[in-house]
Amino acid sequence: MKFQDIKDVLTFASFRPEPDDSTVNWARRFPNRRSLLINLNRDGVSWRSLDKGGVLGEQGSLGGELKDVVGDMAEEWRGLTDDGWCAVSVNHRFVISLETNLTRKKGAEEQIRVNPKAALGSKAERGKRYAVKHNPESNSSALLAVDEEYIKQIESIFNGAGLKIGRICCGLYGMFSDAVDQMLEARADYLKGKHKDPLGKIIVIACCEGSVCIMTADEDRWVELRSRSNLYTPDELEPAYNIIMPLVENAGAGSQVVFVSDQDGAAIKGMIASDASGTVISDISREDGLWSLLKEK
Amino acid sequence: MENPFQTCHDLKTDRPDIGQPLPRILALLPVAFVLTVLGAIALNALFFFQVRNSEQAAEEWKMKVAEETAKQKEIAAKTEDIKDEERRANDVRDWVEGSRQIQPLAVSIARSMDVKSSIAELSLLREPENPKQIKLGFKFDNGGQKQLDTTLQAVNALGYRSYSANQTAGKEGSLDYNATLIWQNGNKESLNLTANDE
Repeated sequence: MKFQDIKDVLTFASFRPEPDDSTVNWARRFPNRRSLLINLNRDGVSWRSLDKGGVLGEQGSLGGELKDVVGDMAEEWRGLTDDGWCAVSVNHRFVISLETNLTRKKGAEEQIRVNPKAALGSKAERGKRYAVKHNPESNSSALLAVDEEYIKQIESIFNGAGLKIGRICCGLYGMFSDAVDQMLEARADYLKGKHKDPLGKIIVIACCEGSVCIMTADEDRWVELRSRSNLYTPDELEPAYNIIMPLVENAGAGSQVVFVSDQDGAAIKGMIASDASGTVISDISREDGLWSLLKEK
Repeated sequence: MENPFQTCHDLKTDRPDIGQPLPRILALLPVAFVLTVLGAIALNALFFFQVRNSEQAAEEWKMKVAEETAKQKEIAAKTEDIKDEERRANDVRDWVEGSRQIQPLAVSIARSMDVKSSIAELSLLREPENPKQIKLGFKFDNGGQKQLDTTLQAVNALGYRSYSANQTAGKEGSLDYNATLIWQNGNKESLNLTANDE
């Protein structure tokens, strides 16, 4: 037994999850410690600090290549954290797709991270990292694929700058998963109520930092999913509108929309509402959408 | 592992030696350790103060013992003084008891004399070193042994006994008698005698 192990037991550190333990949420991993939340876009980086009380603090953004931005900002970022720990959200170089018949064996979700070939079979591509969200009521799943090379590049750049990465995730996929969870929960409550009318089609829309993910669910089936990264800007929302509206229109009147976005995408909801009469829109967006998600999960 | 609904997906390269946190129940171990250390510190402090107090108490007791020993010596000296005083008092008492008045003895001897007898010489000597003893020198004319017996009877009646008697008979009933008289406490009549200092 090393001295460090004894020290960790006596300081109760051994009873807390390790900072890079991905099975534990961020809030539990960093109690009373400052950390940094970072979002990577194709043409820039935005960030938000998290203080010891878990309250969002200083924020900023800087355009440019990731390596240059990290090189410029590393010292300031380290100053915003206690030990240089940060959570990174990638918002480009990812694909979210709808898949069917993925294995759901016990431990498959963990296996998909470490050995995607074993979990996905022929659907696994070389050089990708995956995360999966299963539909518990059917055989469909929402699959996230991110370039492994990009992940390694991020890790290399951050480690070289003295920053420690506690999590790398796709912010859009995280918000989408959160919205799907809430939709499934609401649907379960509706079914428990023994309503005679079917719930109808539900469209889940997630907008994050210019990226969009839309999925149509028809009762217990997930039928269609589209996602695009770097699709819109706060000044140019039309591309997002153009990809969302066909699915909303296809769902028809009486369908429901579960909408989640960050502040930049909030106006998209208004555009949908004005053009899709008869569609109920449930906005579950939170203030500081992406940052709230990263700090809580 | 937490509920997947409560955690976000993670794509980073996992460190191979990430360990799970220890069960919370085992947190009792460091708690017990801390309590033990605190207890040890508290007991050490307690023992430290107790030892210090006991050392102070021992010093106080040593001082008390020294004081008592000094007092004891003082009392012993006083006792010795008192014993000396007692011895001297005894001596004085002996002297007083021994120094009975000679006058009654002389009167008694004189009264014991028959009309035909006369005292030629009478000496009553008492030495300061031994006041209980009186050297009697007694010489009379006429009466002889009978007169001597009468006189000694009168002397005995006063509580005196004669020792080392020596008598020499002379012509015509004269007799020279020398003896040491010692006063006897048990004599009844002697109780009527008074000491010189009374």
